[in-house]
Amino acid sequence: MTTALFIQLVVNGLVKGSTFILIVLGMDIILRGTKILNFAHGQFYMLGAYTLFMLCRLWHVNFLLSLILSGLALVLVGALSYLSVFGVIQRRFTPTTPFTYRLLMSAMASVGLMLILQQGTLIAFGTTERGMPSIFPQIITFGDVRLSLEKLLIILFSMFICFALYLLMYKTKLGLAMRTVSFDPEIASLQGVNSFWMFMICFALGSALAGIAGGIIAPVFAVTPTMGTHIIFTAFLVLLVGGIGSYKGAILGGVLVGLALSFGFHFFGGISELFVFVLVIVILIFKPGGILGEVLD
Amino acid sequence: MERKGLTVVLLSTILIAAFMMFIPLSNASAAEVKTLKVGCTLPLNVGFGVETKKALEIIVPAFNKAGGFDINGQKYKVDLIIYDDKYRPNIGRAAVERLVNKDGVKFNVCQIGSGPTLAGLTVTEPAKVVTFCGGASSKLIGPKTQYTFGTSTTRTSIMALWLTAKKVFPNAKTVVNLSPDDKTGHARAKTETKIAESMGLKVLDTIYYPRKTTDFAPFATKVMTLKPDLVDYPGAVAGTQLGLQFKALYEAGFKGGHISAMTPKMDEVTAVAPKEALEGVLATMTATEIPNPPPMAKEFKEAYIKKYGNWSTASLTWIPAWYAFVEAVKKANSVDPQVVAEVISKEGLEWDSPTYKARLVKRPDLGSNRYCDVVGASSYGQIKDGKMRFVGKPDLNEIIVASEKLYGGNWR
Repeated sequence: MTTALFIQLVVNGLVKGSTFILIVLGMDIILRGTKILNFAHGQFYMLGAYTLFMLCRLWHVNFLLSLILSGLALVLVGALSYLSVFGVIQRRFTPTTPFTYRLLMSAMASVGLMLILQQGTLIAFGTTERGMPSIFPQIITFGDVRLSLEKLLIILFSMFICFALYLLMYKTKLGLAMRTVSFDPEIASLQGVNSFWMFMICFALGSALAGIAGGIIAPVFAVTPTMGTHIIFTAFLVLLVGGIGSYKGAILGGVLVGLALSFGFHFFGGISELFVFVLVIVILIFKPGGILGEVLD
Repeated sequence: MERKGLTVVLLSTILIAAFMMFIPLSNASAAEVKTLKVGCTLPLNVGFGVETKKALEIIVPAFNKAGGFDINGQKYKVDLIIYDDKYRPNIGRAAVERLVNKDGVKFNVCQIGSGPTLAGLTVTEPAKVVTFCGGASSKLIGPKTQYTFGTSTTRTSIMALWLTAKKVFPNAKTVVNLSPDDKTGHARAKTETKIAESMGLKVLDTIYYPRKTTDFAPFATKVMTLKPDLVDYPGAVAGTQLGLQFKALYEAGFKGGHISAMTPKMDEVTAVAPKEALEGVLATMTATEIPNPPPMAKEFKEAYIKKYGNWSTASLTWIPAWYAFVEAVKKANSVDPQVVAEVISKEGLEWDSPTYKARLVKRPDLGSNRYCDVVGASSYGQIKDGKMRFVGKPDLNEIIVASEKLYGGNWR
């Protein structure tokens, strides 16, 4: 393997990994904050992509503005989803409701939501893949390594979002409140934090991250009604690899899985996804909670 | 008294005569137009399946409006029943079962894709339902089938593509195939590999991708390590996904030639790939797009635009099956599927469609000495400055002769 090929594979892996990072960070925020295992998260990613496609391609809105609006649209979708589905289910739980039961009930509800959103999109947009021209079509070359500017921006944007999220979670009162609620909602209530609103904010923020991930991908690849279903299961693998409930784990897991897919495909071809499953199994044998995660009780 | 009797006789005669005249009229109106149910399963979860349905919704009513079939004085209009097979074998089989067992169809047309079509054969062959289908797999027309006729030129007229490719890329020595990882992709890759090698080209590798792939960067990186002169796309979907492949290869720095047996949907391809990525792509060009298109192609295109307000070539690969069915029934002069199958298996068939003129051929190389497969006189074009430009059209006989040389046996 030449150095150029190695670097190209790393770059390909980082591009893939960056998308996973954004999606899994959103899943982590939701899972940690609200204890909801959200299978509809992939559909939020898909909705973000379609929103950007509509704004940019059909209504000719500026790309950056479209991306912000996609995020905001998914904040709304996330908040409504929580209010109408998950919030209703959670209100039925009592302090003695087992954690596994809570997780299972919310997961089942999320599967229903996933199907509704996917079918709704199919009805609204049809089955055809929709493509749009690249926003940044330039190619950057480093010796024999080639990278399109749009893919480089995906990596940089993902890093920016990670940093912004770090600032939010660890340097703001809102972030402190979200972390307190994720630790123990009752204690948070005693501190004057409205747990219900915090749950909704966690859900909306997580959904927005998925929507933004979809929005940045839309001009690079294609938007399809099934893109969310396709990515969600790999996203869960990333979550397991990095560690459930760990933000750093989400970043590490995204990078590892992206690289595994990139290198795995090059050397093993179509069974590269199997390679990722093997990686997950090996990691979970030695670290049941993921590399940087904790085992949720 | 005599006068009264005469009046009665006269009146009776007149009444009887009138009655006698009335009977043939009754028979004439009793010769109603009968309905011939014809089945079709299409992948309505993908663009080309939807487009084919849209095309059939123009073609079949137009056929009925023009009088339908007239078989020995009995008129038939066609009731085309379309079910969704989602491009999946199990769903395709279930749909065909419904068509055959519940709807009672005796003919099945325009199925797309080897997976659902092969699954459907397990129902149609025992039920003696004549199928005109579009899958690429050779198993569709092997010795075990008697009522199935391939109308997809993917098995045979790829020869025409490569005959043209040799002229357009005379210095090319090596090829890499990029193919979907399913029955159709594997069947098409196998066929195109064989043909490319018969032309003196070396196929360096066939790289398979999952059907739903949109990120082709890893595949493009792999292609670049192989350094081929040409990249071929057997079994690829001709729209956005094909455009994404061109885009990925362009971004990876590929400077060789591209060959596609499918007609690219230019609106979708140009939406995702820059012009530079498409320059020089050699692809099938339908009869509707060549300079001075034949009347049938022109009429179909006009009717499509009139009904839907836009134009798409995506259905043109699959609708020849309908035209084959119509010609087959006319040739056999019967709507009995057994008779139709026997006649065209023994005597062959030629038909015209908006896509191309086609002819059934035998496939002794596949163990089938009946007329069962198709050769079509496709046209080819190259993309220049974002538009397809006509390059040429090999002769039908030239394609058949070249195929006989490659595969062996007498196909005519």
